[in-house]
Amino acid sequence: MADDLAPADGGDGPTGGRVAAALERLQRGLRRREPDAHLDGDTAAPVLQARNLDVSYGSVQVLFDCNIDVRRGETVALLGTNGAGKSTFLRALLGLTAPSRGVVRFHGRDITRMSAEARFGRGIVAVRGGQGVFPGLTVAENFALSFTTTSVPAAERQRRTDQTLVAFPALAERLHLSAGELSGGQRQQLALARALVHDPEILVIDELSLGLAPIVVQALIAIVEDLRAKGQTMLIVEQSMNIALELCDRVDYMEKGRVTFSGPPGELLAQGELIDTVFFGTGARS
Amino acid sequence: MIVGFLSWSIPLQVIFNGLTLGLGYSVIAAGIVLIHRSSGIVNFAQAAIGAFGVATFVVLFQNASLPYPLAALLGVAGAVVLGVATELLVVRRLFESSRVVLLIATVGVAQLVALAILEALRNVKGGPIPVAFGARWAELHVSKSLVIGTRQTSLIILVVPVLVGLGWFLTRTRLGLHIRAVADSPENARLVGVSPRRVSTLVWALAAAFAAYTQIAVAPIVTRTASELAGVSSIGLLLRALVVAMAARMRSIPVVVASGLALGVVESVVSVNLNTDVGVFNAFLFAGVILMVLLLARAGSRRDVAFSVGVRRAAVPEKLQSIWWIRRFSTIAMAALLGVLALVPLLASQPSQLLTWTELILIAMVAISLSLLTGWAGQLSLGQFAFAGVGGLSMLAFTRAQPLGLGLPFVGHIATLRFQMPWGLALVASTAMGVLFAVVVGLPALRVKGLFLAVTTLAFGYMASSWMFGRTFWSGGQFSVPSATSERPSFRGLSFASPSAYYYLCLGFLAATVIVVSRLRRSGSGRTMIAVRDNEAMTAASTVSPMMAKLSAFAVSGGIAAMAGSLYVFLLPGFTASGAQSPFSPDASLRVVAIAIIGGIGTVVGGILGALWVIGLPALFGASDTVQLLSANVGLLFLLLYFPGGLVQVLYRVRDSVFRRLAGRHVDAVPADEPAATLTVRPRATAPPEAGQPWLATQAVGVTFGGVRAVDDVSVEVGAGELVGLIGTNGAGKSTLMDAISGFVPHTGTISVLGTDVSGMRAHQRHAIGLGRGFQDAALFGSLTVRETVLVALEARRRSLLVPSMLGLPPSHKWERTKRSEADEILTFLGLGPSSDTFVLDLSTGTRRAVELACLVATDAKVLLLDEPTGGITQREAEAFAPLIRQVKQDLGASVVMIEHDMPLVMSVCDRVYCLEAGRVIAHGTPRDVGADPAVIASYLGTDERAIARSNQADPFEGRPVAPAASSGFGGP
Repeated sequence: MADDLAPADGGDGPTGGRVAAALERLQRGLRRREPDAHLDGDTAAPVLQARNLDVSYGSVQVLFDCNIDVRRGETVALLGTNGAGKSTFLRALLGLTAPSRGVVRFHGRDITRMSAEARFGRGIVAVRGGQGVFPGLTVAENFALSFTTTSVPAAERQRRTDQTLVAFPALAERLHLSAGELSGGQRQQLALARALVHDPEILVIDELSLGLAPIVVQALIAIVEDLRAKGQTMLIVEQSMNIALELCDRVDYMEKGRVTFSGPPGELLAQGELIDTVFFGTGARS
Repeated sequence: MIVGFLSWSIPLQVIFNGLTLGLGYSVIAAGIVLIHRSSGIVNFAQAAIGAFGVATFVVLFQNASLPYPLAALLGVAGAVVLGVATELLVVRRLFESSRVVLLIATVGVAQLVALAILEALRNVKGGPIPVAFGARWAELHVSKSLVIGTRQTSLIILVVPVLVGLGWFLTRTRLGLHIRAVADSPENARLVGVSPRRVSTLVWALAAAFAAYTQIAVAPIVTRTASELAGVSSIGLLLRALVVAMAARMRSIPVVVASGLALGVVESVVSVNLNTDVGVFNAFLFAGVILMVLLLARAGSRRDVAFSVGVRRAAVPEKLQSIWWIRRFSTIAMAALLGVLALVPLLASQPSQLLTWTELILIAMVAISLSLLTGWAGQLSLGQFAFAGVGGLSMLAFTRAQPLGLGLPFVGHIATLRFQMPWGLALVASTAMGVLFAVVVGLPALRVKGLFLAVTTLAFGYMASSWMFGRTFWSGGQFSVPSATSERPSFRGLSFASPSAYYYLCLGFLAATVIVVSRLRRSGSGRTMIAVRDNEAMTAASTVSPMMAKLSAFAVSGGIAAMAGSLYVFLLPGFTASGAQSPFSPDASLRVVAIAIIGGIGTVVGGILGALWVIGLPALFGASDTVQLLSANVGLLFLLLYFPGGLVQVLYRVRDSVFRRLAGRHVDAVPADEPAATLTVRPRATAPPEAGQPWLATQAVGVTFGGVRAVDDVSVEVGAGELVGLIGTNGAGKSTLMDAISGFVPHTGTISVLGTDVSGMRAHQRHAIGLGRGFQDAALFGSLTVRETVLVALEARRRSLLVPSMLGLPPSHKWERTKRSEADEILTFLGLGPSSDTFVLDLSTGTRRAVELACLVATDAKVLLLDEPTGGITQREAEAFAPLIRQVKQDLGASVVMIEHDMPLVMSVCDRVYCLEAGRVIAHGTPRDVGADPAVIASYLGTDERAIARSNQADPFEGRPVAPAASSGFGGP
């Protein structure tokens, strides 16, 4: 699967070569979504914001008073160990889980009760690590499906899909293969590519590196870095600390269902004890 | 018969007739496939909804004299309204429930619709069902041996294009794409803007329209007159459609059509050639169902889970436990209920009334047997009354010396056996027959769960009543003695021939059943049946074979049903055992399902309450069978939707609130008192391995999931008393490796535990050798209490015996007492004493982790495999965990393998650490060495090499301003 990505990289490192060029073409080609007039036009408001979110599964509360802000053009990482509540937080932001308390805002507008389907329509597009594709559909159908709920004209769909596929030659060669037959890396590429054709207001990426070989992850990161350079607003959930620190403008750190740190990556690093404790097993308790 | 097969004639006409017949199966199967794809439901009402459309059409055409196209259109519209109503009112409300619950709901809908159809057709004018183009074409004489009738022409013209269109629809249209997307993953579909609920409603509308349209076209072929129409929704048709749908793996419409046609041809050929033996095709059909279900099970379906609607009740508040009548409340209530039933003969004015009440008693027994099988072991049986039939007809055969012909294919007749037994012995023998049949029918349950298992039991019920009960041994299906009462048992001169005496006899058997089943519930055998339903892996980790637990549930359940059946036959003055009028038909089985669910499945008293509701109430008011059927199915749907625990649940709520009021306020479990200092529980005899040998060793273990190497050539060793950590990022294969060691996933390579090669063993055998297992989710057994959970784990030390536990024979009492005191000791030892009577489902994750440790102590395992023992618990609890793990390890004298993300814990407690990445071991050694390994750091910190390069310049944990102490990377304790 690493081989599939390698030719795309050209010769000069993961960020250079065809990926960057293709993505640039794609970004230029995409019509920017007109700022939604009905969204009270508050450009200063964060693209996505959560305030005081509580989430419970049955009688067990798993999220406590969580806040997050993702501003336009920003890349924010949501960090934390297994079971810290990152996925639940994400589910609440995407509308898959209803919070028992708190509010989610999109461009300043309350979307707490909005369905996940409608949020996708507004431009909140998710890439789910390891499971974001429809294995029973072909690659082409995976693209086609996500357009069926939007009002993008047919010609435009084709153009966007073709342009995106330039950056993902491995997918372009396998358009009529069912997604279930793809390798893990290719599936992740598909999930990412399928999100990109929608020119998301905010791209929410869950566990990009989940279970993938290092070289594959590297190539995927290159793509995300390019998106960041182009000003794509992103919220990234990661386990891997350095990926997050490398990619992000701001970091929110979760522990046991609470956001315990929010700020620039440098400050999180300065809080050495926190990182040590959680990731490296040193720190206060050892 | 088999040899005769060679000389069968297969005329062209028969094949053609078979094809048109098969077309009818294909269309119903296609609807079932459509709905299953969009929502994972097996819709038992599919044929009934279509038939409803046909009935509407016939009424409008015949009675209102509407023109054919208009009547057909309105018929389709009627079916669509019904389909959408079912989806919105029933399916949507139960969307989050188990798929098996939904299946039962669709059974209820199907029966109600069948009633509605009967009612609608009552006043319809006679005459054949109209054919679309009947008047326009004459019969088509293709050749001398093949004539295509007008009905068939009309059918082909109407149906074939629509079937082709359906296939096209699924692959080419937007809604088709949405259906397939939702079938793949409802949640992902939502994230691209597709609403699974909207898709579900549209599919139900579409499937209903399709069913009605095609059945209007097929109806003239299948049934000639309107009065036969209700039979269109019969079980036989449904089963055929299910076989066809399953042959297509619930997916491909073209395969549905092909297998439907094939089934039609086979059936047509068989019935022409074996016209003396009509039902034999149904025996083939049963074999076909089993085969399809087993094949389908291999394909696997993630949404298929065991049945789990259970009655929940709160534990009796501690304050009240000293009051004797509260402690014995259930027993007293049950005795009172039986006491009231004992008054019935005094109140019944006519013998026929008493007959109904006797029937009620026996059906309650069958309901209790179903309650045990479904409510405890989670195996839904839709053919329970067939076991009663096996018992009843065996009873007749054994007491009347029916000839039992033994023969083999190709060999022919071998011998004829005749049994002439006294009444008591015959009862035991018929019960044994029930046990035997239930175990055989239960065999597929070892591979198949939930939904499709239910289909096999339904197929058994159908096969039994339409074929098996017609064999010579079972009276040749005919049983026509003027009065069966003459054969009723007598015992030492005590005759049970009079209606009231027989009533008391049956009531006695019911009381005995209640006692035996209640006793079973309190014994180890009963607990493991529930345990295997809640958590099969955990049951195996308690060294109990899930297979044996399931089969014992089938055996006990089949035995009780057969016993009830052998008393039941003496209530019937004369009957035909096989065919539509059989008292042991699938319809009777479905009624028992309704009774058990209405009463409250999984409880003993529920069976009696349900029977009182469904049979007793209508009998009191002298209502007809129709009212009975109506009350059964309306009650079924109502309770499923609003009180899934049934009538018992309602009573328990009343009881619990009364108790709470009595207790003043609800007493919560108080956490953790001082742990007992030592544990005196006697150890399990496990052979210690030779000194120096590793306690756990894996060699080149590999696990592959659908082409992905999740674990690749992993060799690890754990020595005596070692604590070994298993670390790595998410998806590195740690849990999969642990599952391979436990025997939960198939693997390559060899694994040895305590010096024994366990590679070829099943999971429970491996744990019996000395493995102990903690699970990532710590789910344990949700519907058992904490004490019961530990008692299940204690089965590892001494297995409960099924029959003595049921009959209260020694040594079961003594063993049970010992186990209880052992369980209490372990719970006190771990500070869990106050939570003993709390249901596991109500515990916090932290407490469940502690209970899991208690289970490990109970199994007395020597090699503990712990998967994230501190996952999902608070920091404070996690800190308390390290000493706890150390203590348990020390007390058990065990080795531990631990998957853990809490690095401080790993670093402080582990002797050695293995680090996995992408299924391979990338480093192992002391925690300090592994922590400093560049490959490990890269794996944890991310794999962007530039990031790592930068880390080396401004290493986040070397050149960082804060925490200089940890200069060597991961560092040690």
